[in-house]
Amino acid sequence: MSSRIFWLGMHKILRTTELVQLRLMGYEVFGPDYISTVYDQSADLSSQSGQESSLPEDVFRKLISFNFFYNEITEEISEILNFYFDAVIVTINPDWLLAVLEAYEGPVLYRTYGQPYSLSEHFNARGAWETMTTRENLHVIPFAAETIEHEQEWFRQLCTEPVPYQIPDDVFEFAKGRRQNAPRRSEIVVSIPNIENPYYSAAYEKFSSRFSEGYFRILGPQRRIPADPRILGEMSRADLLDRMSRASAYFYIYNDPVCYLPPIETMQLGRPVVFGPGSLLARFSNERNPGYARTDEQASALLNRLLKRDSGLAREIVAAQEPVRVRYDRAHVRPIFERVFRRLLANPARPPACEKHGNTIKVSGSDGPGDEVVVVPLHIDGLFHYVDGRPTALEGIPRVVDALVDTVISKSSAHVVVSCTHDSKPVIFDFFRAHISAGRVTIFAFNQQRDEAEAAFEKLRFVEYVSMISQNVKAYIVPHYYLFPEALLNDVPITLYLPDYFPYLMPDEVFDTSSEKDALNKQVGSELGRRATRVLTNSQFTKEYLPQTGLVPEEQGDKIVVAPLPFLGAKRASSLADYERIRLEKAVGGRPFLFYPTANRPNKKLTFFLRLLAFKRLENPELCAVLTCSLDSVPEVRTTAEDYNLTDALVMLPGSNESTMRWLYENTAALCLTSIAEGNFPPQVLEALNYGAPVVATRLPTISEVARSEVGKLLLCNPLDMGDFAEKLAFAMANRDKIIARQNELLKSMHRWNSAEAFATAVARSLPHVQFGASQ
Amino acid sequence: MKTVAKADDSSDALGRDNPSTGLTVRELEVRALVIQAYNAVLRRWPDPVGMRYYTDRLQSGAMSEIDVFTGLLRSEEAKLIVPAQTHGGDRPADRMAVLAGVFRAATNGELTRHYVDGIGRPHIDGLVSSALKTDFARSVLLFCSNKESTEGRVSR
Repeated sequence: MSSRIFWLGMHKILRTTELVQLRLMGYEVFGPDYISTVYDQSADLSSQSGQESSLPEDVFRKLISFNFFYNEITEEISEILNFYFDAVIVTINPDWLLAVLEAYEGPVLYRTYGQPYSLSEHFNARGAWETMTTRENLHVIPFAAETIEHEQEWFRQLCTEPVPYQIPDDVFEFAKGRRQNAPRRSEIVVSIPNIENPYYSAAYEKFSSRFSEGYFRILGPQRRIPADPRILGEMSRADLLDRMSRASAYFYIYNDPVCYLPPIETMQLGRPVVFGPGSLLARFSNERNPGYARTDEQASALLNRLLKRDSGLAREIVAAQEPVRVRYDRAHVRPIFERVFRRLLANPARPPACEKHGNTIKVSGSDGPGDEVVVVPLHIDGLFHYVDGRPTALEGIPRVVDALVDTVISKSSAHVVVSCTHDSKPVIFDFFRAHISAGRVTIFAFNQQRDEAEAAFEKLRFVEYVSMISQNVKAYIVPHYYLFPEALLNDVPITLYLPDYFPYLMPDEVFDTSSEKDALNKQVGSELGRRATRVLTNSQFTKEYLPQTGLVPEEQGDKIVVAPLPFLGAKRASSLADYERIRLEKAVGGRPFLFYPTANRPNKKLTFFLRLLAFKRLENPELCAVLTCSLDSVPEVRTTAEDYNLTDALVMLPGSNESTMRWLYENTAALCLTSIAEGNFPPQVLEALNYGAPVVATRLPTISEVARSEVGKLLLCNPLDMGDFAEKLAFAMANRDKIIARQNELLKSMHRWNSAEAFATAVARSLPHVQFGASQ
Repeated sequence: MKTVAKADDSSDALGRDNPSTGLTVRELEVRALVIQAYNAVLRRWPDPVGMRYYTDRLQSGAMSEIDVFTGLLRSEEAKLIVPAQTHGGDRPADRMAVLAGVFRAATNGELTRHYVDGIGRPHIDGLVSSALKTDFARSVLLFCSNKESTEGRVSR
């Protein structure tokens, strides 16, 4: 007997296409009535009580009278679903999916059609990450690869190959039967249904403020029609198709990465479609498509030509949109739909992405922590985040942690346990995905915390966990000198990562919220420094002054290990996607720019950087700067930007991913590093050398220490010397090629001094109880 | 597992009503932990039902020591004792007092050993009153210094 499927959907087109096709494929499919009070212009409100079903009559009656939409599923209905159905297909709405996952234990197929927001972010906000990643037999079936490009990795891993969706059959019938010489209307059609809905209301207001011409006709059903004669409101399908087929053009007004069917239906009817940047149509084609309008003015110009019967342009657009039309053509869609759904329904088995036991999360089937464990606490929010769905480490310590974990995994057989906060579970999971999948990394995830006391409890829970495995913990890498005081509660070998201690170098500055907090931080750091088996730092310069700071006892200076940082960005940097490049080019606006990717800290001297920028702009008003921090963490930086009227000259790109960083280095006029104190050779300089950006930087001891006799190959300046910086920036901008050639000579030596191998050797020395050289 | 005779001065909750019953060290530790948790959170001795509930779960591994504290802290009774957030921020401070106990439970059951060994309460009062005025990092530092001084005394 065929499988019995519960199909949770109500869309009037899907009920005539995908629901029908599933039944034609031989499945018994039950579709519930849409009896929710939530108005939806796309809902088919007709009764489904006449559908064929082998369900017992009382069960059928219960299901058909139950509201499955925007509603919890009761225990009784849940039992029915589990007993009578072999699979559930959920369409469109993520919240309907969550209700089903709660109630139904069997295979679930979630069919998505593109929506104006990120599904993975939505699921994370609902706390559903764990439900979905630990769930067996869950499949997401997107309709186009382009609609999941921005989704987070864990969600994309749940996705099958895309299955396009088709425009309804009546469009094909209409296209076949219409009169080819039907007179054209001098009008442009757009679709804005249900203007009461906030999304469409915003779309309507935006459209009306930019396009007030009377030749537009606004299609789509409305509950209450605003006073705008251009709105046609609800009409029969035949009238709608006639209107579209006789319009001079269809204007697709939306810029978000989804696409509704009306423009595709128009394409099937042979009429030209004009669309703007960012839309899915734009991503399906490209900027050279004749229907693409980069600006509102370009759109108006194109539409006016089409209104004036520019048949050459119309033909050109129709020819260019053919590949897009084909994507939705039933002849193309149906075989793919049938193949994928048949395969998934016949064999829905799929292991969950991970398993959770207590607080620990690991890949299904892996052994988890074994005899040799390295613990790395990362339970602070904000260390890692998503940029366009890609997990990204914040500059500074998290990037070094990435390199440390890589080293431990590749050079030893130790298992790594990383902790994370409740909210950062998805991003930590995605960030360490490769190692987790290989069974080498386990996550200890904190529960949600409502106040400080609960936060402390969670930390203690982690202490308890480490206590439990303490016999096997060969190293506890504390990546920050005061953020993880709970490390002191475990009796395991600690390696403290201490790249610098600026309060010693700049005693008059406050680094935390107050000098009292700075003092407490130092107490924690001192206790960790005293207890640590090894202290890991990145420069000889820092090693020499640390014993004088009080953080490492003077008599224990020999336990400080120097591991020069290798080039950190390479592993995660790739070429930018087109949409990312366009977005960056737009942000910079074709202007030359100085670049300084750094957090805003007192030692970075961003006030000086801004004054320098203002000074340089006197001779070059086009010059701007790209920063990756917030201007507000050092108060005078914001006021300096305002005092010097630099607001329009600053492009702020906080949280940029490695690919964006690479593009910025490759395109900057110069890296302009104004810091007066660094704990190690600044990674920005190493990245600039690798990516070919001219470097103008303060003459720091940590640069001289590494560049040694070749230090003269860099343009180094006296600290905070405006004249020196201005002159060297001018030289760098005028002699870019020459500067880069000179820097390349230094880079060759840097490859030796700051190699990944040298780093790994030093890391091994900093973890004396871990057996290195036994990699698996 | 080593079995010890039940101490004569044990309370009811420690099983005094049945002097012939021998308790293992682990059982004693578990009971002492529950007593300590009740006293820290609810400021009273455990009732027999509560004692059974938590000892069963601790012994079966269904609950950790911290779960006992957390469970009690979230009980209706605790809400009556621990002032609401609106009362001048006392609630986090009171919870810090409980935390001081949890530090001990979480770090090798040190406090439970105090009970079992009859050492008493050598420095817990000072720790609690300091914890009331301090934050997590300070509590940890305080715990570390107390732990060190206690260890020093024991070794001497």
